[in-house]
Amino acid sequence: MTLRGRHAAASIAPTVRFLIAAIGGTRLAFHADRVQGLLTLSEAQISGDTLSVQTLTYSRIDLAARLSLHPEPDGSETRMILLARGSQRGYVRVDGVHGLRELEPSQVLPLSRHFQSEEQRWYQGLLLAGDGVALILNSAWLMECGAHADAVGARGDGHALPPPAVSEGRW
Amino acid sequence: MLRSMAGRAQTSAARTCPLLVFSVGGRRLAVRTDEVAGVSPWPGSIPVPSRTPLISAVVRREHEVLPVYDLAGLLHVTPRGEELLCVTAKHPLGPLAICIDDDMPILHALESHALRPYRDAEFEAVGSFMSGLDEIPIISFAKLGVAQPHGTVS
Repeated sequence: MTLRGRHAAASIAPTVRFLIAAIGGTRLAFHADRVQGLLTLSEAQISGDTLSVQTLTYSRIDLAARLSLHPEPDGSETRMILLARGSQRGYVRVDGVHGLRELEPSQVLPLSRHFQSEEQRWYQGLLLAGDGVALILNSAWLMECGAHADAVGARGDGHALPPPAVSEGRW
Repeated sequence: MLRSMAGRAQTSAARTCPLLVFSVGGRRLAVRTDEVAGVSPWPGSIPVPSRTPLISAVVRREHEVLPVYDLAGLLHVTPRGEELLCVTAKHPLGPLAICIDDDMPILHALESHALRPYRDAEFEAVGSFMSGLDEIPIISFAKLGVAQPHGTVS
């Protein structure tokens, strides 16, 4: 009875999941429910500013430029993170992926009010990661520039797109 | 008798202002001690891409994360020393971490008559005092980075 009660309490505790990645030494947390997959450089079929997976197109989101970060050169750890939000799809190139974190909402730290400018829109808070922190990216802000809007989805007819069958590569 | 002594003590206390004197990039500054929450080893900062002037990093202490105010950047200097120190500043928006030189800060009781206006327009100070031939500006941590209320920064 007691064990069942504890188990039930643990299972209903709401959690949020984040994919932790890094660009230029800065750790960034992507909402996991926006992540559709990970591709290595060799797996990514990039043409210009778009990446194609099966019949879906992902537009480049130059997060490094938007945050004035200095990414490392392409290497074996480089990944393309495929993101989707509603009908919008985009991809972000990161230097590497550090794993998936599942947290209770209370473990998300708010961004200090001392940060008074645009960054209040960029980040939804912080989480402790390793001996540092990861910045939780606001998916709406992330997707609003450069992300590809599907023509069908943009009409708002409510058809959900199936997730692409892509390799998730290594974390 | 006791009342008289207490009265004298109050008068004496009212005439002095306790200050913490510290240095950043070799430049000496002072702040009222009631605006200081603590002094500790500098833990190293973690950059946070930001458009807020002089606030673009945080420090982590165990499970606590504090924004860093770049006082050295305001003064156009670089903190000096092998083992830098961290002053935790009290601020209306929450505590701030400030990196200072590795010279241990000292306490100074400033006589009120020694307080003088600080005329250098390089940064805002609440006053200054003379220490030998040096003029030491007194800054207010509570006023750092709050030129405009939240949400109105252009």
